[in-house]
Amino acid sequence: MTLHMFDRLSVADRPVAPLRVAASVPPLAVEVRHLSKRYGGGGRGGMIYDLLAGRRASAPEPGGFWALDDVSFTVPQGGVMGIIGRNGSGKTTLMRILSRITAPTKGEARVRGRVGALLEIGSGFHPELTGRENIDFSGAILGMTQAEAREAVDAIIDFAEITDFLNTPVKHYSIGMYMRLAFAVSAHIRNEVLLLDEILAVGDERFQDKCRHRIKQLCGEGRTVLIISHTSALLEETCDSLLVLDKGKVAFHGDPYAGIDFYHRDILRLAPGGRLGADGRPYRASIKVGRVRGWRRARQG
Amino acid sequence: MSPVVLGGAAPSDVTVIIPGGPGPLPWLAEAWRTRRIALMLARRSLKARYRQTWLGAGWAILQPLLLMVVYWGIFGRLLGVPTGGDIPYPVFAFTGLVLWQFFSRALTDASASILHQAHFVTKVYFPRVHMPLASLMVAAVDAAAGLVCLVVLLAVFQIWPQARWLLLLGPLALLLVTGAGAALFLSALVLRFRDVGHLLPLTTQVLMVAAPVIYPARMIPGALGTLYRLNPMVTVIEGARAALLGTPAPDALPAAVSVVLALGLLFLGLRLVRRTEPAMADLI
Repeated sequence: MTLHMFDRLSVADRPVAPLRVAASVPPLAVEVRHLSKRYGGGGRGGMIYDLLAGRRASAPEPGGFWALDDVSFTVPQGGVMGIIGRNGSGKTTLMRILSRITAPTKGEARVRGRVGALLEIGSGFHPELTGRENIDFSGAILGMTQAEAREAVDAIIDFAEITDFLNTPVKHYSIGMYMRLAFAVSAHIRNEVLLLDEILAVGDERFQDKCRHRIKQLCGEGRTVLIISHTSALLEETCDSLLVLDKGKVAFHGDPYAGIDFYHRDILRLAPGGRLGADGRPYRASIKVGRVRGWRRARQG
Repeated sequence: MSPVVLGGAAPSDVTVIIPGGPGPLPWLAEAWRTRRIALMLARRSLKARYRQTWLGAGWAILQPLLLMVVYWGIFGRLLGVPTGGDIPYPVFAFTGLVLWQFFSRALTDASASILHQAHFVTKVYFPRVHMPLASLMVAAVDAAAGLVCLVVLLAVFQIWPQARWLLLLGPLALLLVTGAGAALFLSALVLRFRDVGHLLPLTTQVLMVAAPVIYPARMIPGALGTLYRLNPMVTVIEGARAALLGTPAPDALPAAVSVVLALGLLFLGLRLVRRTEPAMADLI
């Protein structure tokens, strides 16, 4: 009896994220519960057996590591959530699961509406096809309807600034032109939920600014947006909540300003002002090397 | 016509993302809803394939034609393989070769379609089943060109279209089911066992000898012959010859069993792709 109660409490009814208290609570656009993803493992060598036994392809293998470990959060419709974390903290894994490129090992996510993912540059490009053909094709792959693609094509061409090269195979494009076209296609998806990675803002400084501007626009159009970024200013400007990931776990979820402070202070261990120490290392070393920290302070002082 | 929604759900639909991926019915429904992707993938590879070739799409016809000439020389003239009745060896062999080429493309090209498009699998989501299906469509376009060519060849040998030719639709449908089954099954299997990729060229050669491509099925008699006739490709090729050339139709019972086997293969292929899909990006 008691055991049963605990079961229910621990799995189904555990509160996931503080709910916003508002006059009318908008329905959730993204709902992530106990999401975990395990990678690697040497495998058991029993693949034929697994296959015949009908073992699910995504069942965990021994060894390996948890790229995402029991992550839970929600994003209301129209919300813009930033995601920040160091390399390997699970940001990209989370986005890949939400865009269904790969399946989680445990847990569940619910997404309301069509998902558009702007995670990789030129995902649907073919070198032999011309710019125009690639717009058509990668637009479809990224989730545009026929009508939307037809409507967006001029805006895309205009944004990418490649009007003169529309009928040239993209293999003859410069890297800059290729990247511009790829970003332009991705940035004109009209889906209800957008997964963005700021890494997409590419090219020369002027075009980078244009990309950032477009990202801000996308965030401000009432869509639900999840955005990975390392630019504090961009996150503070666009997001209404922030998720800080560390080693696959949620380290912080809440107000973006507080989240960025937390990230700088407790994850990156940066000195006030967001810079590294004089030796190019984090200002405050981790607790494990406390003695080194003492030494460095002594030297600096 | 309402716009076809690509790459996912309708605006108000809730997509549930769980470890095993969607169940069989939602999976099929999504594949159907996004079917335009398969068409676009096929169109893309057709467009890209013959760029920078001098002969262009002519290759689709030239390959089986040249093969036919070679086999005609060896089996028709040199070894004198009987075709049954007064059917000229070139049309006899070309019928078999056009159909066989489709199946062999399903075994080799379509089975590698997911593996060789890793850039899609690891970067963007759409139902993976569209990749082998698009490969099959490309092979089907080639086969259609080959069939047109066959009609011309038949005319050269004074064999003219007649009502009986409509029966060709049966063998062609069975060919599609068999090809799709093999392509789907292998395209998912090869992700787990790359060995399959190494085995396939040899297997295709052996299977070609095990089907009546360049010789008539009548040449295999007895109990072995009955077993032989359970092969769907035997039913396809002998059935097509019966429709086009008026050779004896394949025996009903083994043919019926071969149809069931082909449908079983298609079912297994769909199932394996669905089951493998959640892990594909990790396996590549």
